[in-house]
Amino acid sequence: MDINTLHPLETKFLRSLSDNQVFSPESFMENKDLTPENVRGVIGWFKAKNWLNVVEEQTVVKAELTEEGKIYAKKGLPLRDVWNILSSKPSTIIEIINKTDLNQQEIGKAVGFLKKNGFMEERDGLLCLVNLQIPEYIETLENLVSEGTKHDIILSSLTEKDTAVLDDNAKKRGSGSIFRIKEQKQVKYRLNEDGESVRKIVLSSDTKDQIGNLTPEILREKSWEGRKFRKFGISLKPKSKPLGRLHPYGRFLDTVRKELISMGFEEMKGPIVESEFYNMDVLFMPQHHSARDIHDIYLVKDPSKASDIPSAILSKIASAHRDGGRSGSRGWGYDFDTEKTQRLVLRSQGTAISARTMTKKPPIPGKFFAIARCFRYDSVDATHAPDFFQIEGIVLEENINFRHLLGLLSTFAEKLAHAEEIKFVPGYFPFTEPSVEAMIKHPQLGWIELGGAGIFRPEITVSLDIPCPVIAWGLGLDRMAMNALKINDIRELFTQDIEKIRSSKVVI
Amino acid sequence: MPKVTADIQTLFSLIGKPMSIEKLKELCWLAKAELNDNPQTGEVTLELSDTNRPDLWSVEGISRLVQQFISAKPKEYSYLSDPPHQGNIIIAEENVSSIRPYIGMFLCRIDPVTDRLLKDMIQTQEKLAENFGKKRKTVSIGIYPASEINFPVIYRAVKPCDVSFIPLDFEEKMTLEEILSVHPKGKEYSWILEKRKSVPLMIDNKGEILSFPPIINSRKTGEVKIGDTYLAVEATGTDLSAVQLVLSIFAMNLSDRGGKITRMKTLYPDNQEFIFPTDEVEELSTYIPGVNKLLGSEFGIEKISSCLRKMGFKYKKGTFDNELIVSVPFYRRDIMHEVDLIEDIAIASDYNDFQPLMPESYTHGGLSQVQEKSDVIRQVSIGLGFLEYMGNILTSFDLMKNCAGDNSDPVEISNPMTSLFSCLRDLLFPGLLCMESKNSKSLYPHLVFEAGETVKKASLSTETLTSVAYMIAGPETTFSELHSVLQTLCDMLSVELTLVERDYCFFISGRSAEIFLKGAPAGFIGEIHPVILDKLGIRMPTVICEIFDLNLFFN
Repeated sequence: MDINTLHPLETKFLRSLSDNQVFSPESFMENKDLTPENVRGVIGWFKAKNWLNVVEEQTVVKAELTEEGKIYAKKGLPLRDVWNILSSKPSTIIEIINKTDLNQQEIGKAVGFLKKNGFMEERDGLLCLVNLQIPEYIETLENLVSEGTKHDIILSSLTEKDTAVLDDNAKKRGSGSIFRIKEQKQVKYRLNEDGESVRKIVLSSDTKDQIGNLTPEILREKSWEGRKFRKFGISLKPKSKPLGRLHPYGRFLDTVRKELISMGFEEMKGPIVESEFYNMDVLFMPQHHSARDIHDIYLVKDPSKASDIPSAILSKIASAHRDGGRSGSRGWGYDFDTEKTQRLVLRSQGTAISARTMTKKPPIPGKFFAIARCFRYDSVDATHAPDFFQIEGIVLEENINFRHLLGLLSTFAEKLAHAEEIKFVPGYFPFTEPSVEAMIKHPQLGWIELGGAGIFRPEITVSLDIPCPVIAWGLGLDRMAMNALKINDIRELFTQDIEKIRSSKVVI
Repeated sequence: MPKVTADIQTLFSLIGKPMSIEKLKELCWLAKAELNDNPQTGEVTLELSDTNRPDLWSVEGISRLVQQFISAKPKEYSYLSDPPHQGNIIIAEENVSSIRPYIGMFLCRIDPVTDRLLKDMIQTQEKLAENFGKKRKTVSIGIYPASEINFPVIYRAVKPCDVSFIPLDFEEKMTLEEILSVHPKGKEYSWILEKRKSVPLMIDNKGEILSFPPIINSRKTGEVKIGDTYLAVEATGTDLSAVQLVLSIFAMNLSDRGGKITRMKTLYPDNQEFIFPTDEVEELSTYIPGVNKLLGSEFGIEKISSCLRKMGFKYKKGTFDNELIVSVPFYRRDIMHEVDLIEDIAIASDYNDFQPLMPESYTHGGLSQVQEKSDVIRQVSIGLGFLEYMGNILTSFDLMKNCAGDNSDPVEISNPMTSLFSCLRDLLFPGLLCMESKNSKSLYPHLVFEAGETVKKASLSTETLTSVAYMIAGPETTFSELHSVLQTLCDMLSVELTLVERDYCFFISGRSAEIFLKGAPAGFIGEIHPVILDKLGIRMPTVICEIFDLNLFFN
């Protein structure tokens, strides 16, 4: 038996016992070190270890406070209230009713008691006390009530007088009384041979002089010299500590940023409330495009219109839509609505940020990326979040071409998605031509989408006076994160469960 | 994204040969379509990502693309060079030109219509009218048994209460007004004609009503049945090129199914006339060096010609050696610029045959300033024992108001899908409290922070800011605990912190303050009032602080 595996309560309890002592939780009522609850716990453990013998089971009669009794324990006995009123001056019943919050029944009972026992008499319709000395009965009852608030009263431990007063105020399972009498089984135990031998070891091991927690005092006073250190139960699994840590998705986004920066990309930021101009018109999405319907995009109530649309660029974009402008394109062939372009929406695609960058004479060569919250008009379920992250970017370079699209996507597949196999299929984005989508092989799911890329249409770059081709790319970030973090429900990316954030595994 | 269902045998017979599903799947990528097969029904579904190519939104369209690719031969549609029918014409009257001006029709003799063909026709009609035609607004299509029609057909505007006929799916005569208010199709599409005093109607030479476009056909003359052998297909719309396009596509599809197409003429007021389907072809030059520059390839003229053929284009040599003049058939309205042709060339030569390259120029990467700052705050915060939270930006107006009262004035959505996501958060702490209300079972204390975007109203516009908020909830949590966190943070960032006692409706009075950083108002801190805690069902003392713009920590 390695007594170091014992719980401190167990050791404490064993030390408190004398040889062959008979005990029950109740016998620790007055103990300062151990409460009856502590002892009940230890008895449970000892029973499981088979260290106990039952000595006797007896039925104990106890009195406990009724609900009413508990109320009186707080606000005082009716008897006391009535006594106090009458001791200041003789009063009528009505006066007593007015001066207390007692009900008639309670007053009746108190008055009846005082009268019956000759403490009070009636003169000219007034109730007067016979003697101003408070009856012992009341004080006894008050003592019993206050005792009752601490623990149940064992009847056999009371004096005869106390018993009489208690009886007078108790009914078996009755209502309207202060006390209720109940019978309880009480088991008394003694350590059996095994238990006793453990106790002996505990006593003999004499850990009393051993050092428990090392304290600054012990160090200062050098009282540790010549003493032993108590052994700790280091094999026990400790409670885990609430720790501060980054959100798993936040951390994932950090690693994505790090990869992109290492490839020479500079981060862009853009507004969440965006005009249709930057969100769509600059990107050559026709104003009648279905993605611009009221059922596909969130509109902003107030303010509802943008005021920051650069008019010189606007007119070039408008003519690109109308007839291709200077780009050599046929254009969409419709009347561009300069009102609609101002309409404010929730950014529906990260490309809006690239659109902003491109209108601001970006450096060439240049590489930019953004991790952007975007909003789509979808109902929320396991695959659709109310807002989601998109990662996307642009590359401006004199001689880039279609093969660079494939190069970028291959690098992303390797560095960000850790995919081993990639294939390319034709894709469609309203703003790029040619466009490509990359699929990567997932060990369980098979071929899944990684993202897409394309070269911005000349209608866009020519209108914005950008003298070189511009690659646009975007990746399905939420999907990638779900794979990396091994979750199936997109809503869990933004989990509200503290335990999940605390316990999610670290992914590199 | 349009979705098309197709019978696999029909697909194979249109393509001209059977093949494995795997092979078919691969070929469908040429159409930017993802194919999923359902072996039980013998059908496949195709999800098409190109919203600009309605010619592909049908069994025939997909098959055409695959068949041309395999044979490397553009398909010929000889009816396009036939003259239009001499007697059978449509006359569009002046009064309809302000309502739904354009109409076109063609005729088709075909083997008895089968169940399958009927299904496919209805699907094409729906995709073209619903998706491409914006729920019939810009264009809608009607199909009729042509033998019932006495030409010429008149297209005119009438008053909705003046005319009645028996519509499809009904037994009794109804006025157009009744159709709009009672018939399911009338109810569904009446918005297109809303506020119109008169509406379009098609009548034949004997006065028989063919249809009430774009709502419903007549039961008597406007219902195609299995076994019919002579069809008339009509389209009406607000845009001539859309009407031309859908009729071009529909005629090709029926021709692919063995139909013999006869073109028809529409006479418009002012003696204008158009023939449907149109034989218009656009010519577009493409230069070999231009193709190679965009694709990074070294293709010769032979390779490029073969790619063009595979994608269904006819071409001729241009004036220059390295020039090809490509004929773009009318149904390829998506070809707006040479780059669109170049993409088709790349698709035909297989994307996976291009050798990937990385961009060559050196550029310097880096975080945005705000992210750089945000990361500093995040690192310090976790060091202070806080857990990072990321909440949704789209949130509930009620939550914002319940938590922050007049201190929140969020940007609202005018078309929210549900009240749960009806505005943009302008403060972070309501999100933290909402989170706290769901975590009463996890080990206390809870130390949580969020550094995230918020949207605030600014004069005539909005502003996206990055805010920071902290929350501590636990049995012994007090104001001073969070105050010391904030102080530590400010000391670390060398920014001077001043608290000025101030009451907020969501804080306990006397235990809250406005935060000033370097003298500038920056946020608030305090113990959340039990009224708010109670409303949210939080059973722990909770303190929060919020800094509206994290730049204020750094200025």
